[in-house]
Amino acid sequence: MRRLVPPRRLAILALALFAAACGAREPEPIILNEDQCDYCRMTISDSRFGGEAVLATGRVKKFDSVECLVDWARATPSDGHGALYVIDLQHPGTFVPAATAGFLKGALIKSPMGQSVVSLADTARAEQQRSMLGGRVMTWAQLLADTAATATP
Amino acid sequence: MTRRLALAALLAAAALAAPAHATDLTVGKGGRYLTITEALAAAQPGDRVLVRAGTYREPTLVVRTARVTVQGEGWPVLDGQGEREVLVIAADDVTVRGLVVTRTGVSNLQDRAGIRARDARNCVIEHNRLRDNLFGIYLQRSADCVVRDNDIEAHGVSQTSSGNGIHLWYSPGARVERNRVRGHRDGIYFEFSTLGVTRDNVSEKSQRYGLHFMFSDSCRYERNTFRDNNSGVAVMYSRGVVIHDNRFERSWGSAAYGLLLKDIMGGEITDNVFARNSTGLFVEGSSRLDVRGNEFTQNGWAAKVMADADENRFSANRFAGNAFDVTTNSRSANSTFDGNWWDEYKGYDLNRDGVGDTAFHPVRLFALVVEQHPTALLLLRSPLVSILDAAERVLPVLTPEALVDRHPLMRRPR
Repeated sequence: MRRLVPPRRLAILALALFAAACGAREPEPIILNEDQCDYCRMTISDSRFGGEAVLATGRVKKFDSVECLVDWARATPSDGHGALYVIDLQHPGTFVPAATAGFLKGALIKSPMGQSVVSLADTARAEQQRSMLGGRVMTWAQLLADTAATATP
Repeated sequence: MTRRLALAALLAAAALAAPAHATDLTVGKGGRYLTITEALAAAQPGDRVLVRAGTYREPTLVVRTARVTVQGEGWPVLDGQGEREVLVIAADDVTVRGLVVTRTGVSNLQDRAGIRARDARNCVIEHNRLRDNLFGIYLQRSADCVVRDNDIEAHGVSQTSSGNGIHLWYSPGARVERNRVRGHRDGIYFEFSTLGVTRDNVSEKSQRYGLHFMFSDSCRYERNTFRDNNSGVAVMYSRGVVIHDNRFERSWGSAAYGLLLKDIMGGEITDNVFARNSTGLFVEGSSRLDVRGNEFTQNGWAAKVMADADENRFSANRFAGNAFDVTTNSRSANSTFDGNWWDEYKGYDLNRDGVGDTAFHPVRLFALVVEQHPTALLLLRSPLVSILDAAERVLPVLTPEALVDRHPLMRRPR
């Protein structure tokens, strides 16, 4: 009997596919008015705010606001965070990595959890928008450390 | 003598109550003013600005004079032309009635409202029609205002950027009564607004919630109807809430709840009707709620009570025609069910005291299976499932032991 594919090659192929699947840590689009926030359970309805955690298992956790993502990240050991993303306010519905994003806390614009935290592509963009939106420019690390920035005051 | 004194007091009171120089400033056809802007600039405290029928396209109108009434005659239309807020109340004791307010347009950076009260006490916003605005009526840091008899509708507004019908932000002591709201993101939204009363409103077809409140303690909600809202009603992060005699109807969808309670400490949920929802009542992280005298009919799940909800009491409720009466996500149950009526109860009452002699276990085994494996729902009508459920009811092994009604009612109350 003739084998179609040599077993060694098959194994390599399987391994490559597996690796590719594991590497897919891309954020998933949020379906407005359908998806629920995995932290506060609110239905997500505003494409200008929000974030995602793409876990190592491939599972995607969705959040309606930066506040909820921060609260979840604080309550979860950091090795379980996976890849964290936030929405770019200037491009509603588009994700940027949380680690390099810029934030405005206390901006004039209201966020879903009422703490007025918005996220932008980077701190330069945040600085740029500050003249219009007000608030304080922060990085993800600073936001995580700031206990006042929380979904549930 | 006393009579004369009383008369004098009455006259004095009348003189005080009636503003000395209350004038009517008429805008429009045959009136002294051509624009509302001019009339508002001329208005003295206590004056009335009467706006005659017609369409008014003016820069955002701001009422800066206390005790002014802006009153429409024959439904004048105030048009924001898709570019701006329409009317802002920025003084105390202002009344706005009889206006059609339309077309604020959508902004990514600004929560535009048809009528906004900003740092204004005791405003009254009544008998207005709001059409196609981002936000309808918005109370911003405005205490003790009344919003009543308004008809608010959004249509043609894009889903990605829709605002709420009636929005309250840091506005305590509000009364929201007899409004009709349709098609907004959330029909009525209380955010950081305590001590409010919301009654006799109809909120329907919301893109998200018919009623939504967050961080709003000590509020009362009664005799409202919430129906066909995409996600139902959500009440979150609040204390001391009274929800009485409302109807929660027809919220269908995987993330839809008649009423979602999340992190609510202490409150009463009494005499409401939950009908035809995917999940009638969903309770998570909430404690010391008195859930009494409600009717749960024809829901997928009548009540989902999560394990982190504790010390909640369910009594004198009526459960009929639901696919599942009660479900939870754990074997330990920290809420109690006592003295409810269940159409699924098959027990007997030998001593005829109206209370069943055997306990009722409202959590079906299959409900727990579905909680873990939603796809198992396919087997809902399978005879095997019925046998499993029956066996589990006789000898509970997997379902929460504590989640049991030891005094199920034989007759449906009321």
